[in-house]
Amino acid sequence: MLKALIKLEFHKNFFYYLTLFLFIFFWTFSCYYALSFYSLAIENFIKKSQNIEIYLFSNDKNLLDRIKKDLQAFVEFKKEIDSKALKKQIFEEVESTNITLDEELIPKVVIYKIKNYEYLQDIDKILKQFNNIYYIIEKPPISPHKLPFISIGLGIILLIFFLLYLALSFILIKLLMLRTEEETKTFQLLGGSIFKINLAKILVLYLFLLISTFLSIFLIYLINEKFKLLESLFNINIKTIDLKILSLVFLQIFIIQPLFILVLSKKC
Amino acid sequence: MPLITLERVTKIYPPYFRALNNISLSIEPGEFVLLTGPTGAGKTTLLKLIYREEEPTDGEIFWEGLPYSSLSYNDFLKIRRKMGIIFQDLKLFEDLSVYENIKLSLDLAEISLPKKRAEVIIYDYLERFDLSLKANKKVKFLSGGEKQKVGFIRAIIRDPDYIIADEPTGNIDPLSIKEILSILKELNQKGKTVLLATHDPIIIQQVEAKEIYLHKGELIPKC
Ligand SMILES: Nc1ncnc2c1ncn2[C@@H]1O[C@H](COP(=O)(O)OP(=O)(O)OP(=O)(O)O)[C@@H](O)[C@H]1O
Ligand SMILES: [Mg+2]
Repeated sequence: MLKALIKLEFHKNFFYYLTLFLFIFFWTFSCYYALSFYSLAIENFIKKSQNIEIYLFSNDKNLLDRIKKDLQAFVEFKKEIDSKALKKQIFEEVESTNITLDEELIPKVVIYKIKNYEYLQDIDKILKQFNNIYYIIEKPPISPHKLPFISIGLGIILLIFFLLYLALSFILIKLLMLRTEEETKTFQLLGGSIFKINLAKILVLYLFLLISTFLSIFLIYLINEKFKLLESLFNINIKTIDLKILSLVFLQIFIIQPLFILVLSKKC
Repeated sequence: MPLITLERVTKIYPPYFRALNNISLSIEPGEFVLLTGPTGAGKTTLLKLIYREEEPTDGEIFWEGLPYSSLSYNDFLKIRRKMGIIFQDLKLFEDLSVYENIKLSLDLAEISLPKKRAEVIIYDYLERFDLSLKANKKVKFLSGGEKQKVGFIRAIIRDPDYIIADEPTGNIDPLSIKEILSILKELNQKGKTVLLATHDPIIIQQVEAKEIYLHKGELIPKC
């Protein structure tokens, strides 16, 4: 009986399932990218908000060396008293360029990067002592204090996205179930058991979900690996499918969706 | 012991329409029963109560002495699998082919025949009703009469012990009516119980059976 029901379910509702299939497909697809953007954005914010960039402009090599020594001494001092600082490299010479238009007038630019935002004021004080150097301290665009709010904000957007997805698929599946209500009754009048009718429905639905999710994972892989689509379009390098995201997708396939279908089929 | 017994059964459709009023009757196993009466008399309602699509508002129905209220959902499914029901509104699966509709009836009755054997039996009946060329056509493309024939074949293909036929001859030509009646009589002679609802005087004339006459939801004794 189950075999006949599954066949019928396929037969009858193919286009409905196809719609659902496409929907899930695109959802998984966009969910993957939304998550990638999310983690990328957070990562970027973290990076940016920790860096202070110091630009020193001078032609005086000795002066620059002295400043460098002072800064290094400061960092060493901090390292001694601040155990946290030991863990991360806090001082790094990033760039040292000669701009060669006019040796006399255009100063040499030295850029230092200091990874500890808290040292901003101390560094400013050190640099102030040298009165014949021009310097700029580039502060991070986002202070680390704001970081939690930003990640929460982005998280909320992601959550809304996810809830929207749930609502939409709820409506879709509900439609799917409703359409066959009359026929379900006929099945029962002909002696079909409601358990098997539902089982057939659930199996077919789940099959479509599985196929669509796996297909979208495959496509994500293909696009990332072969075409480097995002990289070329937005200059963003999204790593190959990372575990975090994959596990979310699997959570969706194996836990969220089945629960969802079960709850729905109970209701209908 | 009677197969089906109705005891003071009343059916009121919401909000307030008394489709059946205080009906008591019994049907013996192997009987051929004609259920007659004008349009709106409550024939379909009575059949729906018997195959339990509807529940009575009042009174009790018994199957072989057991009240319906004591039969579980699964118990009743087993009974239904032995029933061949021809619904007045047919209830065919419009998107399935003629063949699939009939095959499904076998599957739902949990009758598992070898594929070839099932095919032979189904085509045998289709041949009898001149439908073998339409076997793979979707039901929604059939004419009214053809659909009714499919509904009839679907009901009897499972070799049911109890046949409930609600107006099975409405849109059919006289020749096919004869065929249907002869099959029903044949089945009845084999000991199957047949319950046939109709208001067609020709059929009433042609069938020798116990008649139950309904009028506006009341059981009227026929003289
Ligand atoms: N679901 C329903 N809700 C409300 N009223 C109903 C419902 N089903 C049937 N009725 C009413 O109950 C009465 C009996 O209907 P029923 O279908 O049993 O008549 P019938 O004897 O089968 O008629 P026909 O010969 O036309 O098939 C009718 O007046 C009908 O309008
Ligand atoms: Mg009727």
